[in-house]
Amino acid sequence: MSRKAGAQTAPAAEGAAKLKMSNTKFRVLLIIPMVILALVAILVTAAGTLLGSTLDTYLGKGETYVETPSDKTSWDSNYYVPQVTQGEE
Amino acid sequence: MREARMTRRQLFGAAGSVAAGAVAATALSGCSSTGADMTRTAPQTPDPTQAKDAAYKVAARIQDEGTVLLKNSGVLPLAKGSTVMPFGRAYLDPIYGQLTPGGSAKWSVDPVTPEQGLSAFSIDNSAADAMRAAGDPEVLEEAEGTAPAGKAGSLLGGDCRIYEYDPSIYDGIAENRAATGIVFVTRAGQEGQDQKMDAYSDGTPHYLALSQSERGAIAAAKRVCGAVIVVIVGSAPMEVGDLMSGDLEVDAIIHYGHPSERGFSEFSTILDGDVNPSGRTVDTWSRDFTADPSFASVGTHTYDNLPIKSGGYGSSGEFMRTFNEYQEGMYMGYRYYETAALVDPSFSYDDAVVFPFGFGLSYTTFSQSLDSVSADDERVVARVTVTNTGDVSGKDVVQLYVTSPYTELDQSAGIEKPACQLADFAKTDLLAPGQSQTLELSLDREDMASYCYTHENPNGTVGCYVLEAGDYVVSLRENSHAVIDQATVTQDETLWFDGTDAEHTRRSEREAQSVLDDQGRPVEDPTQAYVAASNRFQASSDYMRAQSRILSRANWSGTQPVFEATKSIDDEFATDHDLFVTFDPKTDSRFGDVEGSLVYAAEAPTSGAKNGLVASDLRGVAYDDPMWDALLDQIDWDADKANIVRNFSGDAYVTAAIDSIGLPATIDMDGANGLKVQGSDSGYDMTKSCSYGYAPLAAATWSKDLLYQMGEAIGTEGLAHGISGWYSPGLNLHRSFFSGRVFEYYSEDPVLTGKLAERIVSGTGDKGMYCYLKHFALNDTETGRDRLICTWADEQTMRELYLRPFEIALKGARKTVRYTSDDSGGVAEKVMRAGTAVMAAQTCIGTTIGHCNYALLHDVLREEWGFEGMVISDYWTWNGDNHRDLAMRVGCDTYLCMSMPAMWSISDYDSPTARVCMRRAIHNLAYAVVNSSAMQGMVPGSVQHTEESPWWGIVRGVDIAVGALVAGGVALIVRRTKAEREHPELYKRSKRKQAKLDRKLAEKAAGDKSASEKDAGEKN
Repeated sequence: MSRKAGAQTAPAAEGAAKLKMSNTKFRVLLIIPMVILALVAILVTAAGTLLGSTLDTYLGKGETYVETPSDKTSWDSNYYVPQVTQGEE
Repeated sequence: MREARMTRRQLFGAAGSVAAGAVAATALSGCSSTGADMTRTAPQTPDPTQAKDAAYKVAARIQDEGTVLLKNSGVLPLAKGSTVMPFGRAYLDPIYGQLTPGGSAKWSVDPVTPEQGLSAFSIDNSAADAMRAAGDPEVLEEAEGTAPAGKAGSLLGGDCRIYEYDPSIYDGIAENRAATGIVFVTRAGQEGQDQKMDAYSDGTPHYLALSQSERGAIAAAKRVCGAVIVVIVGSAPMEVGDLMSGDLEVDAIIHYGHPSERGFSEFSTILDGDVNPSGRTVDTWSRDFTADPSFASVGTHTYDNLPIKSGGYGSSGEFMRTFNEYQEGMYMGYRYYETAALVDPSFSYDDAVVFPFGFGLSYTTFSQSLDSVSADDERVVARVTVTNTGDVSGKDVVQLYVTSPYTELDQSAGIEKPACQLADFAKTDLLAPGQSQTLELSLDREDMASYCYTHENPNGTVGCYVLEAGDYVVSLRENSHAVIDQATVTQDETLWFDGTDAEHTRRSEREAQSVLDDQGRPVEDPTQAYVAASNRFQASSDYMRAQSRILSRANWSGTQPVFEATKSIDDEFATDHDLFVTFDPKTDSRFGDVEGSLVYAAEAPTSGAKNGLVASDLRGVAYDDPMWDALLDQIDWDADKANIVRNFSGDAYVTAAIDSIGLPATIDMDGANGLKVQGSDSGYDMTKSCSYGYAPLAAATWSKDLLYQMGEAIGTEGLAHGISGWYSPGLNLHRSFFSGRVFEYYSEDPVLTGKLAERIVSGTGDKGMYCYLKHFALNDTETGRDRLICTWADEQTMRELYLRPFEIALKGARKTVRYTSDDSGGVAEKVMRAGTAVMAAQTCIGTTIGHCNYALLHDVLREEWGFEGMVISDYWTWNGDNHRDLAMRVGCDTYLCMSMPAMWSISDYDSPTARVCMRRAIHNLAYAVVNSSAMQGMVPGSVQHTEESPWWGIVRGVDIAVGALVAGGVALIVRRTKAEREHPELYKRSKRKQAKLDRKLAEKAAGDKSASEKDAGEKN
């Protein structure tokens, strides 16, 4: 006999041990962690938005790059010599 | 220029999805409005490791030349390979500098130890072994009823405990007279807390005195060893008079400074003579620090009638405001001791001073001769020949002082004239025995002028500089006290720099307010109305005269500073003291949207114009060029609102981009002893950049060249790491050695501080970095600085001492800027002012905090000194938006605070007045940025972007994972609910539900039965 078939014939008062968890209880058990998780996600996102610059400082920020007009890419833009020249007396 | 050719459209396409496209859109927001086809390029930057290694070479030379040999009976230099026996806890655990991540300086993570530093010698570890065997050293706590020695009073984790072993641990050590004992003594510096200024439990009078255990260690070393050297590892002077004679006399004393990460690598070379010490003291080492006139102001002084509501982060209570009065006035540091020796018959200089300002010994001897002193209407020039008369090579320092006549006019007008003041200095090259070098030192004649805050000027203002008629003595000195030779420069007529005309305006002011030619020379305009210095802080001078006292030569004994723990402030000086809290941008008569206010604007500036400019087009363009207006007319106040507001409310270690004008974001960093670089250790990685010895060590080199090279090295590291701004140097003065940040500031002297700062700002500027000169101004103590401490000084003291370093550096620093000069990509150079950034102080002048002080940030800084650049606040986390409005309106262009838009903003973004003020601030910011390394790799028309921060990937991952879990949960609930509806009998139920179900089942059964019976009846 399948569980389903057996259960179908069992009155609540008689065969409680074989019944599935109350759906209300199931929902409560599931919804609470879901809400907590959702709150965590919202808080993490909000913190990322609000503390972006601070987090950038501690965790690093994205790569910075330059966009140059295509007809000027050959121009000298090394305003500062990239070679290290100092240090010697 | 390396290329990664990619148009904006291609980049969107490459993103490959809507989400990624949104990210790219964020990154690309505000591209050049020129609409040109754009190519992604990468600026070329130095290799960070090479930059660091080069910087460490400079740092080593600073340690070599900044170490001060204070006493030497002949024990030094030590023979290589000779035996040394280290004593003292500081040998095992010295304080290399800042102790914790709490503070603006770099801390040490893997420092070279004193033991490693003694590699040239044979180390007798008898004392070290005894220390190691003894376990933890004794912790010297405060005496009962005195200020706490520990962290109780510290904002950022400082510690004024003194740690030393009980000297009895050395009792069992056998004599080794062949060994030289080296006793290490160490002291900390700390942001956020001043040093403990009262007694410890063993009777040690304060933190900067030797403790009983330290004295015991010295005594033990004297007993065991043939000679004893004391090495002070700390930035502030200490009371060491007892080491000069008597039972505790030692053979040599070295002030090693706070050496930072690698400073001890130079230790052996200094001890064994490979490096000849050439450092000079940057402060006066007096015998009793508590007898210094500044001591009256150390500690907490509280008004009993000046409450203010706290806006401090996490605090909303009310507290009484505290105060700090500069009663010693002009007589600070050596100015006091030299003047006291001159005017006070009861004063014994030799008893009071152990080491004068500018003092330092060498392993060789020098002679200095004042060859000539020449003067014209503008300049005084002295030629000095230095000869090495000893038998080893070395460097010497030449110091030129001025003594001004003290006249009846001075007495009646309240002008103070210290006995001597440093005017210029220079350091020789390394001179071989017998070798000579002639140096030229100079000063402006007007530098000999004094500020008279009581003089009524013809134009209605009050106060001005005055160069009195009389004889001025220009003296060549070994240090502030020892005169070598002197000459007299005569001023024939008294000259009041009252601003009547150009002649009556100091040349330095005219030049500062003039445009520069391409060689960096001021071009004076005969039609320009120059602004002369006049009283900007009248209330402060009035307060000092009415409610406090000012030390005066006219009444030396009767005006000595006195300690006042508490007092009442008169109403006239308390007016608007809480403006910082109550400021209403709509109604305030001085800075509000009120007609006639100092910042009022009836019409909003042009915005949203399509002029086709981006910030990179304006590199090398003068501050007043009309191109700036054309650029600023483009500001899109709506689209850029978030970043604009951020600049005015929370710009911690960055400045935000303003896309509508193509202004790139920048990274700015702290680091009093080197440039902090981001990493994972409390947000930083100390190993990525060079750590220099602390500021007093650098200053003790007295080397303008070295400070310039230090600036170059730091600028290069900034370029390597993409950091454009440096929150340094600190130009406050060592007014009291009990200030917690003495280790971040150069000296007690404004000229030494200012001239060295001018060089380091020039050096960093030549490498593209702007320095935030801080803390502007009168932030010479830590106590109360985060609680709106009221600071009072007369205006002569302010201008000649505490504003002076900023004035010298900002007026004098120059940088060479390369820029694209024509439409075919040609590059030219021009010399521009390097001082383009200032950090305002947390302390108040009078009752007004630095970053909200119009007199300071507008009148003095911009109007008198011609400053062109940006001002940032010091880190300030008070709640409320209105003081951010106030700061921005008075001239604070960016606000140093963590960015929390939900908490902090500005309260008026839309009024014409606000817009005009913000536009001016953006101009200041942009001018500094476009002439910095932030433009490396950016030709005219280029724009910079920053991709989304990597940590956003984690945030999005969390969001996606949570979203998936929640969606799965919801699906599960729906499915189960549906199943329960279909087969409720399979699920447990509450009694109520069970009863309801039973009722339904019964009803159903009854219905079925009734139906059956009915069916049966019908059938029957």
